[in-house]
Amino acid sequence: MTKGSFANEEIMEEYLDALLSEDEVVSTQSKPTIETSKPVLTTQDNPVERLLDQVKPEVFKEQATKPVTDIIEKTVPTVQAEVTETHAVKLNISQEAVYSTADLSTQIKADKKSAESTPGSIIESAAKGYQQGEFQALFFEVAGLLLAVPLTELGGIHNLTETSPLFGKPNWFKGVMLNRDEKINVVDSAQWVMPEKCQPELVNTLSYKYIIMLGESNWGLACEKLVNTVTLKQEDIKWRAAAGKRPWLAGLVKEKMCALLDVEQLITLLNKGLDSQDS
Amino acid sequence: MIVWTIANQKGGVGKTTTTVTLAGILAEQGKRVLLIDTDPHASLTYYFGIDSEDLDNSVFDLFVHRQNLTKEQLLQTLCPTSMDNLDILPATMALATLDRRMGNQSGMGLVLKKSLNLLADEYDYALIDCPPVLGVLMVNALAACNRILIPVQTEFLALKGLDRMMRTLYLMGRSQKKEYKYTIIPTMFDKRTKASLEAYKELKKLYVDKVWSNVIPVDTKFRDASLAQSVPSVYTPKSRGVFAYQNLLTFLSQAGS
Repeated sequence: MTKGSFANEEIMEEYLDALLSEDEVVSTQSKPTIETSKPVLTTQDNPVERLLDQVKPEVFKEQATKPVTDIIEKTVPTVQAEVTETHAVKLNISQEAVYSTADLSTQIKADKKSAESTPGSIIESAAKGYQQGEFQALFFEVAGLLLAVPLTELGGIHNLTETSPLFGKPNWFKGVMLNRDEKINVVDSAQWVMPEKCQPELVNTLSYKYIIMLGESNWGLACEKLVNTVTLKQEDIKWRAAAGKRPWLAGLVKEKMCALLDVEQLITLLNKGLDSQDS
Repeated sequence: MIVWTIANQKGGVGKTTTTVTLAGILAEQGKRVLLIDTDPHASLTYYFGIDSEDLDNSVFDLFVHRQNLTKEQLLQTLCPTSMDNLDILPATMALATLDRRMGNQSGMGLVLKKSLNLLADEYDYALIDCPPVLGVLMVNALAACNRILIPVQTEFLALKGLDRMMRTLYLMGRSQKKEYKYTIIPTMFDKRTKASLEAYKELKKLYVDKVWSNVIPVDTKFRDASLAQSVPSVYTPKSRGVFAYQNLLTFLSQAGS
């Protein structure tokens, strides 16, 4: 939800009306997501979602509420294929938790292409809302290393239970964990961030307890300790200047001298099967 | 069951201290009290020595299982505290993701109210500690209560923050077609400072009879009590801070639920 949407009192009022409506309309029609067994609210039935759609950039609104064919019909020919591919990526991510690296690379290329063809300002403002004003970040620890993730980019926190390793995956892929019918791809964060330091002595001392979910993806970073959440100001961060170098690093939290993760970029790298060194 | 929500859209004004102290006094009086921590920071939960990240259930589960939540499930989510008559529905950091995950669904603002209805016979009082951010959790806390207690630090910036809270109450009231009962509680009052005196004067001028006619003084004993993970009325029963909260409770009892 953007700050702007709350600035308007009418929108605020409509938001409250919807949240406080007694008649929670539940449709039995399933969305093509991993939670297909649960009844879900459709956008059509859901006033809050409808309201949120109103304040979303048009490009997202169309993707969220219209069938792919509609979008294709109304889009100029050169963009058609790319928009379709974006949909394919989203649906696939929902339906399957695990891919082969090759499949993912192809999909992500398509995704990236599509993103490039979309007006940059829309993507930027949607994905990097925390780069304006104050924002909250969750600090967590991995092998003595402190990392931070903006709360707006945090998909959830789970207790780490049993993971099933998959053959042929990189060392940093800890395995797949089932959580309420949802498959989570668990990343061994120490192996991903600093593979060079992951000698047996260090690996044996690692005691992962939680999973930090990245955005709406199925990727989760294993962590040893949740430290706290802190409200940060723009001046508290040294933002990464060069775009090409360590794209997973959004910046540095000056006071704590720790990395602030760029979740969007991190997901892209993980989907490509790359670790921090490869990037 | 009487439900009070302790809220302010500004942080550090004494919400958790107010919640814990009032709950402690009520529990000592033999009332069955439930505390509800809706702040992802989980300060209230930590106050009682509970590491929320080690718990299997929390307030978060109320939202996840809202469609088919039973009284038994709800009772399993509660944690006893070291004090008789005082239980807590704990928070976890996962609550921070609630707005993103579920904040766009109709009826999500009434989850807590419906949950507390299930517990109406189990407790005499429920006190809800709010996060300092307007979102699904605060809307739930406001919608669930009979009265809102708004602690306001007696300093100029806190008065500015109070404007926002009053605006939210106004809009919530319009949406629910009811007038919220609320009491503004001047906190951290230091009679030696001009800032406190001026702020208190301004508060009375702006909000007149909505301001409690007394104040909660600055008292380091509150901090000592939290260090000892004990409610102030047990840890330091003779302190001036506890005395002030006892007065507040008398006022609230007379004012009705």
